[in-house]
Amino acid sequence: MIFQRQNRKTMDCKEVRRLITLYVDGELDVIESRHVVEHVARCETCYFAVKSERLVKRLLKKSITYVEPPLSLISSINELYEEKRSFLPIIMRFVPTIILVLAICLALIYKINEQRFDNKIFRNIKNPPLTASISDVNKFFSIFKNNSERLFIDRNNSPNIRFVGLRYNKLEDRDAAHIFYNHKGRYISVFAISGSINDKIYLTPLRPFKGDSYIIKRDGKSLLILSNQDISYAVTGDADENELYEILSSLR
Amino acid sequence: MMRINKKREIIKSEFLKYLKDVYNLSLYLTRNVEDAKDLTQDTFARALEYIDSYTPNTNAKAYLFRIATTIFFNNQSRLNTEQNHLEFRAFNEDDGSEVIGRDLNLIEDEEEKFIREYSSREVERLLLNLSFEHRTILILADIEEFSYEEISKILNIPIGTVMSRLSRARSALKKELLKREEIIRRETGGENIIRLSKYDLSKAK
Repeated sequence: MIFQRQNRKTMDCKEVRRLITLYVDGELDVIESRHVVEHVARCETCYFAVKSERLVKRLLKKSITYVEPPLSLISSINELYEEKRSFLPIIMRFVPTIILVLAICLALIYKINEQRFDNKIFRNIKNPPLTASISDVNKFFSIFKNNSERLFIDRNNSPNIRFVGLRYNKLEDRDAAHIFYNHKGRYISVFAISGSINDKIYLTPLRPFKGDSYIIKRDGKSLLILSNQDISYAVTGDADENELYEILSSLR
Repeated sequence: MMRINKKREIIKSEFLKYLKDVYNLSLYLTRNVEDAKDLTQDTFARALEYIDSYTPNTNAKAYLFRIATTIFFNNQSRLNTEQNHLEFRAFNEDDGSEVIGRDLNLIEDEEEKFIREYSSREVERLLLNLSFEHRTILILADIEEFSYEEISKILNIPIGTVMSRLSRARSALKKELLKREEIIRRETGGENIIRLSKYDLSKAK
């Protein structure tokens, strides 16, 4: 019985000794750790073994202090690490910013242009001439030539539309004419610009209406635009969208 | 392109944080300033060379230590020599901390007392006297406090080997400490300095 006990204790010590390094380094799991602690509590030899192992570990940790590397080494390694930085990546770093700035600039230019062109057409239509001067008519005919005839509506086809006035304009280096009609007692403005409005993007919001015509809503009123290769028309007035379209169609 | 460069810059700054640690590891490996500088330089150059194989924000220190120990062990096995002359403390001439914790009025527990018996210079000397395998593992486990798993990765050895080598390294250091205590005991004839011999396992057995 006594022999068995001693034997068990020896086995235990052997096992604990194997685990001491791990225990001191915190590499044991909870159960194994408890096993060591329990054993050490009743075995002086193993207690000293743990203690001496920990002393050595702590002695190293506390006594060894790191020295600063020589400045020459620091600078040579820094140099080594700086060396591969080329000029190009620095430029590359700014590429997104440059693109962003350009995009913002373009957007601003677009916005400003859009407002400029849009407003000019609209302003011209808003202030129609009530009478046409002789020079206006002359200029108008000299510019629009053949097409201009169509602007004067065939009275047989459109008995309700009466020509009131005309004014020659210049808009963004384009030739433009402002014609004023009366339709069933309501006033209709037609604004004609030489050439097509390829830059429809300037006129916003531009909503397709019928055929090649588009609608811009301004101050609650419809502005209809028809664009072909020779002349672009913009029509506005007191009539509703369909009536304006009817006028627009008769102008073609 | 830009992302790669950015990643590299991040890794570089991560590496440079551990210059001091790599240099000190190199000092304990090579045991002299010139070789330590070379080893540190080589380590950082190699790390830069293989920068793309490192994942940012993993363990940069362990990564660099692995490179340093690999270079050192390779050179060691090629030359198959350990320098005989040891430039103890040559790399720390301005050492003001002759006795560690001299001015620290910490709890006077037994271990603290024991530790304060030794100057850092003395411990350094004892550590440098060990074989390079032993001092490397002691630095990694006790000073750097890497886990066994990390050490096994740094030194590229199985965890079981880490455990046994560490155990042997501590025993070797203990032996050196006991030797030193014995010398002091003989010189002074006193008992004021002996601490570890109290726990000497060979006596306890």
